Amino acid sequence: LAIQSNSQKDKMRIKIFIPFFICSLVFIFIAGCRKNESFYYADPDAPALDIFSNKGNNVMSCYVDGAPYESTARNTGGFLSPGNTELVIERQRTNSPLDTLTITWTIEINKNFSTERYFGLALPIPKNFVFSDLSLFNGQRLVIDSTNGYFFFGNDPYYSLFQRGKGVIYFNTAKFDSTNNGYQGLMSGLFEASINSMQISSGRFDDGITNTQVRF
Amino acid sequence: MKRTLPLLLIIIALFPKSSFCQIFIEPFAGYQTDMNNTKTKLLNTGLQLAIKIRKYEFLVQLQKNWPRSFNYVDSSYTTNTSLPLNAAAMKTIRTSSFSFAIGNRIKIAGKKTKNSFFLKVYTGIMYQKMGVSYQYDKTNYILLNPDKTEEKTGFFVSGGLEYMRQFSFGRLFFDLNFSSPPTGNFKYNESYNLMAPLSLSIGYSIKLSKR
Repeated sequence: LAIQSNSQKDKMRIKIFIPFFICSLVFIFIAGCRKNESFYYADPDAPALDIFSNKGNNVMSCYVDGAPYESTARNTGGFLSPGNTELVIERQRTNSPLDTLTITWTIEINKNFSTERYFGLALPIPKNFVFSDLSLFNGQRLVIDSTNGYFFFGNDPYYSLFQRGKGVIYFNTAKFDSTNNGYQGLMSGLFEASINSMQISSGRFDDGITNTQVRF
Repeated sequence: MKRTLPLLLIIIALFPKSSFCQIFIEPFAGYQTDMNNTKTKLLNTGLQLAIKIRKYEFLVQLQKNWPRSFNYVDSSYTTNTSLPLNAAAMKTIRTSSFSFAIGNRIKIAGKKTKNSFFLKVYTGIMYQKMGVSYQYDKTNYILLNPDKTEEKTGFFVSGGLEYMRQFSFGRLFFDLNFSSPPTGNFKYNESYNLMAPLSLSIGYSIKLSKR
């Protein structure tokens, strides 16, 4: 009778365990699901860089002193896991007559987290500047000479600690709009920069813009 | 072509020369326009084996589109302020394809005359290649939305209408045929699509066996 009783208890435990195990697997699967929104297409003319495109591939790549850097993958995030964006467009309000607009990409070498860096552009903007005014950059090749803005590069999330330099940026596409649902847009282009002794070359970017990328 | 042509000859050799059916060999050639890429115009040639059993004809077809180059102008850009912002990039796309198909030829009009109309339906395997090359200043400029060479093999279906004229020494036919692209998609942002050829061909049907 004792043996029979133990056997029944084991069966009971298994009956409880199996649904619990299946539910756990399903939960882990759902929680871990992420939708990748970055599309990488290798450029045959620039080893380890991505093509220059204007289709919203959500990718930026460039050489930093010859080393190929690529933006981190944009993804939507899962049930419990946060999403990630390779790009942030941010307005930094100041007490001076001009605010600062920063366009910052998070980049890394060969998807290696330990090589993660921040690269971007800071531009002075008037107080009455609105998000859709960014469309004025469409088709413009801007020389950034440290007086009208600067490029920055660093491995620390505090802008004040970034190294600053000059360069050129060309906006092939700059379409920005704000609707009732928030921000949307597309920007693509090329850049070259010189930051202290560091040379950033063959830069190209192609990013779709949603609310996630904008902190205006 | 080198592999499938002997296969076709083996089929001819092995097929019983009985009084039950007639066998025709049908070389054909024609002109193709691509419904998915309007600029692409190709010359096609092929060889077809037709096995006629009473009023029904079973077809085995090999077809090749001869490679042709088409030129396009794309854009390249630079951040070098001493150079013009953009410059033309000459793009050449060289297209070719090859297919092996089996099909049916069904007479729809002209049962008792020398002039007949047929409905033709094929299914088979198609290989397509789009070879892409560029000419531009690679030192100073960067291409916008570059294409790359693609190859694809997949299943396809095609169908069309055929006019045929009977002669004492064979059959002459004109064929209008539309083909689907091979199954599958590119994993790349190409500016072109897989070819979906609409072809107009002329061919001659030579009888190999007599009933």
